[in-house]
Amino acid sequence: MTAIESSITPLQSMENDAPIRKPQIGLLLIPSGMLIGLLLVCALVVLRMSVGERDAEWTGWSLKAYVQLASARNIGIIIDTIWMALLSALITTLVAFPIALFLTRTTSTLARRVVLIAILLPMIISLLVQSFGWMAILGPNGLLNQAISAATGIERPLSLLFNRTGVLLGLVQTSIPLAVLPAAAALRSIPISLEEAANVLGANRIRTYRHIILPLAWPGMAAGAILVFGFNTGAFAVPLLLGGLKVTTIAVVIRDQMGSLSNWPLGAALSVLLILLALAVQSLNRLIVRTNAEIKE
Amino acid sequence: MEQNPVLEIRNLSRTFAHGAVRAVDQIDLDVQPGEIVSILGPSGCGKTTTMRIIAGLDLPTAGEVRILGKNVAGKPPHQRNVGLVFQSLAIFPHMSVKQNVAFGLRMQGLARNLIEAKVAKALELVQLSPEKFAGRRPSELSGGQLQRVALARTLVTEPALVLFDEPMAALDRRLRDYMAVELRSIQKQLGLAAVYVTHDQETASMMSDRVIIMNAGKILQAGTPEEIYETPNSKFVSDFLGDTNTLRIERVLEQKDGKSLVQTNAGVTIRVANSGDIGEGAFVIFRPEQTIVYPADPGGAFEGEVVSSQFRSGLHRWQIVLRGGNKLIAQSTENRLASSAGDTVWVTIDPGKARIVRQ
Ligand SMILES: Nc1ncnc2c1ncn2[C@@H]1O[C@H](COP(=O)(O)OP(=O)(O)O)[C@@H](O)[C@H]1O
Ligand SMILES: [Mg+2]
Repeated sequence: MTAIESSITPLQSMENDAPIRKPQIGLLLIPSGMLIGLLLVCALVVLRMSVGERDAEWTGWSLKAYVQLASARNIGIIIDTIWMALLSALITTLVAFPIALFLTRTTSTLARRVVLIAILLPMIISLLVQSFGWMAILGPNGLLNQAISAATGIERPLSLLFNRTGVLLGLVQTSIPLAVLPAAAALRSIPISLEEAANVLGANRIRTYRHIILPLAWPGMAAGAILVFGFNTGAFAVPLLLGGLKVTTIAVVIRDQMGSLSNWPLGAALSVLLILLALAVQSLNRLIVRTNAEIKE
Repeated sequence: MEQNPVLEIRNLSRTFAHGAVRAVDQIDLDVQPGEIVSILGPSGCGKTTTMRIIAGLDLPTAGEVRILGKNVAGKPPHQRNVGLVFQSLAIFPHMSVKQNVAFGLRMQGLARNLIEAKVAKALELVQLSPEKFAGRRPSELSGGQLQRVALARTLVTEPALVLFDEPMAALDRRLRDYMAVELRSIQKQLGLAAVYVTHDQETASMMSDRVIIMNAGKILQAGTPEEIYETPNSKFVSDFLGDTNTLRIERVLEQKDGKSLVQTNAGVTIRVANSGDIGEGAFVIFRPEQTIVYPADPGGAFEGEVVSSQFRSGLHRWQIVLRGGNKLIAQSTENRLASSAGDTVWVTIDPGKARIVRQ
């Protein structure tokens, strides 16, 4: 099981004690079920629209939107989006590992709390606000450039805004909690005695990480990476603000098509693509869960 | 003992919480080649801390650890040539039995075929057939089998000293006794030097050449299991090793030739097998099997009343309250009394066995 799933263990003992009346736990899902049902209807509407005619989305049938979707420009944007989501997932996972390790290893409750709050901030603060923050830092006259030019005398030494670097920085920063939390849960479930046993058996620190910690923590890290990837394939606010017009993602194109350009079928077709991506990612996650369960059980 | 000790611990201390907790308090300990020494003490007395310091997983606040004559201060665990079998066993869950056992050898950088051979031999030593178990996952093993894997994984690296931190605490009594006998024979066969930590006195007695009794970070007594059982130097040690009867001493009447005659608070004077300056608040201690109960007064005996009696594992036991209010336990292989609760009995104590100890 992934670290996330294993933290939610079912009350198995209840299952065997048959005679007690089983509580109707299914009722608990009704409120959320209604919302998800609504979402499903929306997804179907999107699917329907994607095979509709422009300006006659409900009556006409056409695959034009999918032909448009396959245009060179759109394919470029799709690849770009997936590539940046992939890269951000990789970088975020690498950045998250030491943080997760710190969270699980520190003996100071205060330090753990402070770091945890700092980690969770991106989830609390609006993505829009965070993106504007990055603009203030990365912009041509931003904090970073001013600091560097003050130190080196070079005018506007770095170009970090309105390009991939800026978008990537934003994507990594805003998705750190998604990677840290599963990794920390996975690390917490590794008893310290395993590390010590490896150590006594002759493994130095690096080899202990390689042979013990990483193999046991990777399902949690992978779960985090997949979350980040899934989250960032749909990224909107960050690429919109930090990418300017140069770096566009699927979500930004959807907004343009459904908004100003009122090409609803193309917007819907791109949405269908995003939904398929999300489902693919989810099944990848299941696969990891399964292989990991085989290791542990 | 001409050879150097494998392990020498001198004046070792470890405090926690800025000195508030003295987990290990100035202990000394030697382990000779081929010898297995048990550290026996209640939970929390500092056993694990001592082991961790020897293995290099923890650092002492004072004192010295020497392994094969060399001070190991500052050496990390992977350079100490010490094996440690953990209380939790710490089997690597993502590795097969074979990979677990091979781990230490891989870290030593041995050739693959050499590792194969050594792993197979180690598995055979702990009576796990390599054909059957090498490929198994830890999750497919029973508690006793995991135990064996942990043992094989440690022994295969041929450490100079093996440390056992209550590795059998989780097993049931019978399996534990069985494993103890087996471990003892493996230890003899390989001539291992080992420290075995436990809070279970039976395992300690079965396992070891010498036992060290520890409490609150301090060593109370050291000796062979028999010595300590027969001649405990304190009420605590005696209690820890088995049921102990205790009578408070009112007055020492006589001390001669290493023996004493004391007046107890049960109103009877008894002869005991040792003497010494015992000061205030000392006790006479003796074990249930060192008493004889009589249905009629044989003279010079304690009079008391039977509170209850049991028969268990071939032994008869009686809980008796003496006239002075002292409670004691008597035990015999034969049913000397057809007595039931409420009967009056007389108890004598084997003068060659009863001892006086300090508070
Ligand atoms: N890391 C630690 N921090 C604080 N106190 C500790 C720590 N480790 C052990 N102690 C304390 O030291 C004492 C001895 O512990 P330990 O060596 O584990 O005992 P044992 O193994 O004999 O049960 C206990 O009082 C325990 O609470
Ligand atoms: Mg312990």
